[in-house]
Amino acid sequence: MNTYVQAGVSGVMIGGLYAVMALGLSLTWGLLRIINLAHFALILLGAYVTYELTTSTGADPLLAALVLVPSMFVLGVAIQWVIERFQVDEFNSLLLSFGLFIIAIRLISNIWSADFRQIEADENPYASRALFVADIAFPVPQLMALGAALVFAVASFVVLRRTYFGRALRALAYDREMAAAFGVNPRRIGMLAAGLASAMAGVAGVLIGVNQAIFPQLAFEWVGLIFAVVILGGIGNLLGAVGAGILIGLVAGLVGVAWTPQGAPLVVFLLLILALLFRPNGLFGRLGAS
Amino acid sequence: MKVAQLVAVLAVVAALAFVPNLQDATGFAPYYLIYGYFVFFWIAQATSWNILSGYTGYFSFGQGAFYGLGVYAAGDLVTREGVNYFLTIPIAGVLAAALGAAIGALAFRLGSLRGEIFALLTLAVTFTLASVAALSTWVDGGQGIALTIPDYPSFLGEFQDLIYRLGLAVAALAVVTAFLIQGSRFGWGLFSIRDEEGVAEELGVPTFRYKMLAITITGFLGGLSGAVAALQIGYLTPEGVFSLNVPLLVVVMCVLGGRQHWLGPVLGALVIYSLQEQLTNSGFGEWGQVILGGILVVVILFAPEGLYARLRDDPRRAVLAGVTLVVTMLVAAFAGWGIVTDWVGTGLAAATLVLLVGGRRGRRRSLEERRDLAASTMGDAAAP
Repeated sequence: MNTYVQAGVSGVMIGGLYAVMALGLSLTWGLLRIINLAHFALILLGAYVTYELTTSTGADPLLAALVLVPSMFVLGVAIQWVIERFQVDEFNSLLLSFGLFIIAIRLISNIWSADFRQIEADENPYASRALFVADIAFPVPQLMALGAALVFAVASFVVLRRTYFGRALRALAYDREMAAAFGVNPRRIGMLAAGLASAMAGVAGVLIGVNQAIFPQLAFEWVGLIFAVVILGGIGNLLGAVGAGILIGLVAGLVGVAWTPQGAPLVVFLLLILALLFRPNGLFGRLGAS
Repeated sequence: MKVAQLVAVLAVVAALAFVPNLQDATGFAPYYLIYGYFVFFWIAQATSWNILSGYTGYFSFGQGAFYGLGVYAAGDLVTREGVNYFLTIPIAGVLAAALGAAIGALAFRLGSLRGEIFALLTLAVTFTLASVAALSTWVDGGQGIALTIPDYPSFLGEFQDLIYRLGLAVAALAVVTAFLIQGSRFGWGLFSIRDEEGVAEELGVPTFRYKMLAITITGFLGGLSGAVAALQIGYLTPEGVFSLNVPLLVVVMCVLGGRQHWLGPVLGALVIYSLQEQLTNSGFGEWGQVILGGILVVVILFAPEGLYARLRDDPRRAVLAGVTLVVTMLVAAFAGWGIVTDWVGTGLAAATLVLLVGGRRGRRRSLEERRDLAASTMGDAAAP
């Protein structure tokens, strides 16, 4: 019984990590109509930069966020600028970012090789720490991921409802022409949103770097899983993405104990196929769906 | 006109089928036949993908599923059930067609299923099949499957002759199918689905039936080609078979070649495969994917309509590209750069560059068209 509880708890916390990875993707897809496969490459790049900075300077791995968040923001703005400049539509954005994704993954494996990389235990002050409640372990790196997911979810909810930027973004998602006619600058809002989404990819990268060993193929494993999170959560629904991330983490964790860890992707993708067929707007409804 | 084109295609196929017979007379290396096989393989896969995704606009990331099912159908039936290899080729085609029909029956029934969701659904199906293959002891068993070369009549020649002709047969079937569809009422129906599915439905195009038929044909051809590939690969592992190589490359090939015409995938497959082989042979293999990704980005930004449309719409540029192809090949030949395939690869790369670079005129025109289109559809967009 205890193993199931432990697996469920770990699953929920890893689900928080999935949610952080999914948030930026859900934001750009739902609100800007851009399907950004390059998002996964940015997360992986973030994880490698975290690894590199920590091993070369010996600094706290979380400090990598100070470098990553602004530089990822700029990168996201730059990609969005190109997409705006060439008027790339939703479909071609998928292909364009697919090209960028392939380039980035290949460059990463040329730089850091295809081997596993992990921040050494003595340089990673969080790796071996865990809190215990009864006999259930709560590893600190996974707790940080879940915490980040919840903070981002609440923050983005507040920003989307209460600020000018959030309202403008939602107005653009509903009707771009009409919002522009009411004085919303679609290019500026779009670039800001894309920058924020990429900055979240940077944070996800730091969390991955602290949590686990990294290798270039990891990004391919994420693609299916994180798209499952985004679609189950409802495209553009950020709170939904966090809920779906936790749900998928929980399911994958329990399947891993009850059956075999290799069976987890199978169950997750079957879940996704069922969800696409019966709830195409996600479990929690998508933004703009009536 | 149509008949003349079909006769030309069949004549090219017949001439290519004769090539292995020249081996004794000219003494060329078996490598060329294997090279030829790979060109045919990619033409078959790209054309198969294009019938669904190019003609109807329903983008699939699931070509790897049809291909992988074909590979494993041949591998498992031969090694575990003792079925004759040549019989497994049509069986693989039928199984992959059934998979296509199953995906279609689920996906196309939903009116609200938009294009991107379809794309991701096909990706999810591929991942699911890959994990089934890795888990199931019948499919793989965790040790891989070794497929030996079957017995076949001796008049078919050496192994490379056999694989070359099998590849050619599947590619020819795929290209002729795509050609016939394009000229038919069915083909026009598929194009109308791509342009405006709702309107097509209202005008009486049986969109559901047509999409089902298209995805079934795509699956069938992908499965056939996969079964032939199983023989060439020899040793099958889930990671190798279900890698992103096939679904990635067919997309790049068709986008580069052009998705609105049967010749597009043929051009794209030829250019991309020869380029990739060129890079691998010159020791730049690890940069191959970087360059492929770069090509995809450049084509989407500057020439989303693809090479074939460029050749057709701009005769002067087509002539220039042809001259570049011939001149570069001659220069490469006289300079003695490697072997024949290197000359062709260099020539194709140079000609592709000529077709892609510049062309601002075309781009501007298409932007204006888009603006007009946007203006005319704004009324519709506001309505629902």
